Amino acid sequence: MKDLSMVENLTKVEDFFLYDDEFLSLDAIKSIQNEIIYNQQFRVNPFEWEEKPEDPHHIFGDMFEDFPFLTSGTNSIEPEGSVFEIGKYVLHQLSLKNSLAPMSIFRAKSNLTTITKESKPSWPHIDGQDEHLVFIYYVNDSDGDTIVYDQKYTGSEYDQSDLTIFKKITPKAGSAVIFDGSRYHTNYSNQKNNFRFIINMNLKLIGGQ
Amino acid sequence: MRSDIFMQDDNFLNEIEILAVETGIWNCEFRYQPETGSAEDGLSGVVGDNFGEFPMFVSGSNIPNALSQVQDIANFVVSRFLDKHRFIIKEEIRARSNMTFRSLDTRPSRPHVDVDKEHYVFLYYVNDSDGDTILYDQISDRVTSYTQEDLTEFKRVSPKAGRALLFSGNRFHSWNGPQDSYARCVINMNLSLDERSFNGREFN
Repeated sequence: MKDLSMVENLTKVEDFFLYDDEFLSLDAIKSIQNEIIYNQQFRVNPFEWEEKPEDPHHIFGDMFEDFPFLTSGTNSIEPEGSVFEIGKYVLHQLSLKNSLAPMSIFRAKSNLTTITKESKPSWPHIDGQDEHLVFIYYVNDSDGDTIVYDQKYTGSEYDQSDLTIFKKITPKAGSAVIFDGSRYHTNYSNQKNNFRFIINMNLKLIGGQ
Repeated sequence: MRSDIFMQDDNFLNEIEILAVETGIWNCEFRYQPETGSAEDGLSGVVGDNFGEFPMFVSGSNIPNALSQVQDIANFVVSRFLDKHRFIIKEEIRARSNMTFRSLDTRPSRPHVDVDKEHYVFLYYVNDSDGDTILYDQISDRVTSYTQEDLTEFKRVSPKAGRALLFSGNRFHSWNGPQDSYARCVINMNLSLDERSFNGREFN
C-alpha cells in the first residue's frame, strides 16, 4: 500500500461522509483535466453482464441497468502510474484542507462514462467488503449523479425496494467526495454531456481504527 | 489514382475471428481526441453546418508500421481481406482504431480524405452498431474546392461486425456518430497497393 502523510482528523470509517468543492485552485483543476482527459489511455470494460452474478456486493432489479464504461488505471492493491499520482495529489489537498487522518490508497483508477440511452442508474454496489472509504473526484462538469444509499453491506442481499438515498452528488469539476465504503452506491450515466470523467480510489485509514 | 475501387465484403473472416478481433480491440488502450482533425479548406476537408465535429477515442498511430496494440490486429484483418481479393499491399501508411460513442448530434462528421497522398482506405467494422459510413461522389484532387452544397452521396454503409470496405482514398467520406449503439468502433488503415493488384482487373 502507498502511504500518505496527513494531519489527523478522520478517525473512523463508519458513517464518514465528506464533500468539498473548494479545495483546489482553478489552475489545479484544469491541469488535472488536461492530464486525465487528454493524456490517459482508456480501456473499454465489458459491455454488459449477460448473466448477473449471485453477489451480495451488488443489488439487482429493474430499477437499475448496468452500462459500459472505460477505465484508465487498474484495480491493483499496489496502485502506481499517473492516475494514482494525480489521485494522491488530489487526496493530499483535500486532506490538508479538511484535516483528515493519514490514509493509504489501495485502488486508483479513472472511470469514463459516455452518453447512454438508459436513464436508470447502474447496479448499486460496494467496491469490497473490507472496511474502506470510497473516494471520488469529479474531473469535469457533467450530468450523471453519484448516489450513496443509506443501506450498508451486511453480507445478506437487499431488495431494490429497500434502498433509500443518503446523498446525491452531481459531478462538478474540482469537487470530491469521500464516504464509508460499506454504503451501497451507484451512478447515473450521462444523458447530456458527452463524457463524465472521475478519479475513483479506495482508501484505508493507516493503522486502522 | 491507379484505379477507382469500392469493395465491400462481409464474409472474409469467420465468426471466431470476428469475435477475436473485437475482443482484441476492446483490450487496446484508447486516447481521447477532442476533434477528428479534418481539414477545413474544401480541398481535403469540407466544413459547414450540415456536418458535426465529434470527439473520439483513438488507439494506434498515424506513423507507418508503428508499434501499437492495434497494429497486429489490423495487419491480420487487412491481410485476410487483401489475400481473398488478390490485392498486394505496397505500403502501409496508417493503422489505427477509432471509437466513437453515442452522440446527441445526428449530423455526419466533416467529409474529408485521410492523408494527402495517393492511397486506399481499408475500413473494418469491429462491432455491430449504427453510425453509417458515407462516401461521396466527389473526389479530392487538391485543386477543386468543395462546399457542403456540392456533395452528393455515392454509397452509404452500415457498420456490422466483420464487414470491411476498401475504397479509393481520394473520395470524400464521413460517418455518423452512433445514436442507438453505445459505441462504434472501426479499424482504419490507409495503404497503397502494388501495381500487380490491378493486372487485367476491372473495378468500376
